[in-house]
Amino acid sequence: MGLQDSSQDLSTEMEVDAFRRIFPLRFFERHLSESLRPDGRQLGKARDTIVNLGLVSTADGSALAKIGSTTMLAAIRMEVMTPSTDSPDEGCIALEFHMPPICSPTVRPGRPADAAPVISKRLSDTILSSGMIDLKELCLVSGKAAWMGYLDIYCLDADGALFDAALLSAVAAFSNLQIPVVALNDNGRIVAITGGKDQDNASITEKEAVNKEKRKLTLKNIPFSLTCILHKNYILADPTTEEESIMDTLVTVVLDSSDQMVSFYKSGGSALAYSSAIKSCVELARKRAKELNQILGEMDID
Amino acid sequence: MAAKPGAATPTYSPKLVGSSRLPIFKDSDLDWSRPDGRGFHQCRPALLQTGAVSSASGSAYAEFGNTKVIVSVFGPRESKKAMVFSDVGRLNCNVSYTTFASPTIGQGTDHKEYSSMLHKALEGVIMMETFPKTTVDVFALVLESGGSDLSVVISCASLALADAGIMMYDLITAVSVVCACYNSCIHSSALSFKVISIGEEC
Repeated sequence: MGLQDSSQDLSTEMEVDAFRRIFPLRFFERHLSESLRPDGRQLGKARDTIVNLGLVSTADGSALAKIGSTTMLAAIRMEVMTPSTDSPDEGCIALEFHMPPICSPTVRPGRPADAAPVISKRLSDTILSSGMIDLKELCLVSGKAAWMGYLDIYCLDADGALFDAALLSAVAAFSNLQIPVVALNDNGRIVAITGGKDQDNASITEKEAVNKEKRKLTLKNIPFSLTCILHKNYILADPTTEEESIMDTLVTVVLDSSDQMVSFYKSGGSALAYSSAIKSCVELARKRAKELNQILGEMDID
Repeated sequence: MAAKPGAATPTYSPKLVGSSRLPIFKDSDLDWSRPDGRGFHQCRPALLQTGAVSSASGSAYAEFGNTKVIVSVFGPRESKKAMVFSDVGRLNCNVSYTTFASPTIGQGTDHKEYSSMLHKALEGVIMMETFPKTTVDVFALVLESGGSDLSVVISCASLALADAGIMMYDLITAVSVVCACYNSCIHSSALSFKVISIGEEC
């Protein structure tokens, strides 16, 4: 710690930007001691969140979620599959999280980002275990046909809290999803009823539509997440990339709309999570879940 | 998800294959018009915006009708690949598509050649000698493909490079052109009717 004295001397003469690059931890700790962060936020406050629905015309449901600068685009496409014999009444959701090279200077083309498969797995586990989607609603003809939903989430701008933004965009895409109306034709294949003029309606009008009108999934127990950083005795909610690179202990809490905990994730890091820290994180997550619930509620009404 | 182990289950899209593609040309019709009502030499209305991606040195977003593209520029930064000293900079380009970019289900065509075509377009206009020993990375992601993808990517890339402050001789733009010839054998004088349409996907 002999460096401390020299940095004290240098800091009085250095420009703010240079100090931020050379002594990032000291820069942040100066702000934390005033209960502020460099972008002016309070410690427990998340960045401005925006959600937009229905942007991708080629998908059956889509959403764009922005938390601060972190931007995620989620799109769902529905295809028909044969359900497995163990669960003939259930459909399936295949989720994949992509980090294309545009999103961050650390991602190289041809080499998937380190964080991508981790977030992919965490997202599918979270969505499955929260019980948000009832797979039985994806059934078309029991034992013969069911929906397979391909959910692809693309990170367009990576600025910290990737899991939170990705989960929000996935949930919003499901709320935007319109399942196409289909019928079973004579060959046993499911075909879409578009009501278009060029169709051969003869085979279709005889069978009634398997799902009556364009349907939406009922979402219960929607999960909302908040990622926090633990550093000494500070807890910072919704970190940016800069904060994540300096302070390495990240905790993610996922709660659902009835305040039940869906998941708690802490993987390593130099700070230990004592029960008081955990309680504070859960409390912050609870407030955040209310905010996000309100934002999504406003979306649905539109 | 929903834990089905083993190989991926085959799925199919319920949408009718090759359904609603109206033929653009009708045999004896000399006055055909483009499906969206544009004139033959008319481009689609465009939206161009810089600063789309905050993590990049420079970025741009372009929308030409249904074709939506984001381009990020990183650099000049250290080249991981370069082994020898070079007194000119290097340019690295990559164009990728989202899985939902094409209206047909599945990957569509991957367009792997677009990366090298973008490189060829940009290498003439960037002043490489202004960033020796380093690399400028230009990455493009096509969010939705509505035709003329490469030309939109090139125009958007030059805007992103300008946003990043990379020195160039000029801003470059690109446009796709389709040339269709119509020959009538019915009339005594052979009628050769050249139609040029811009930015159309056939």
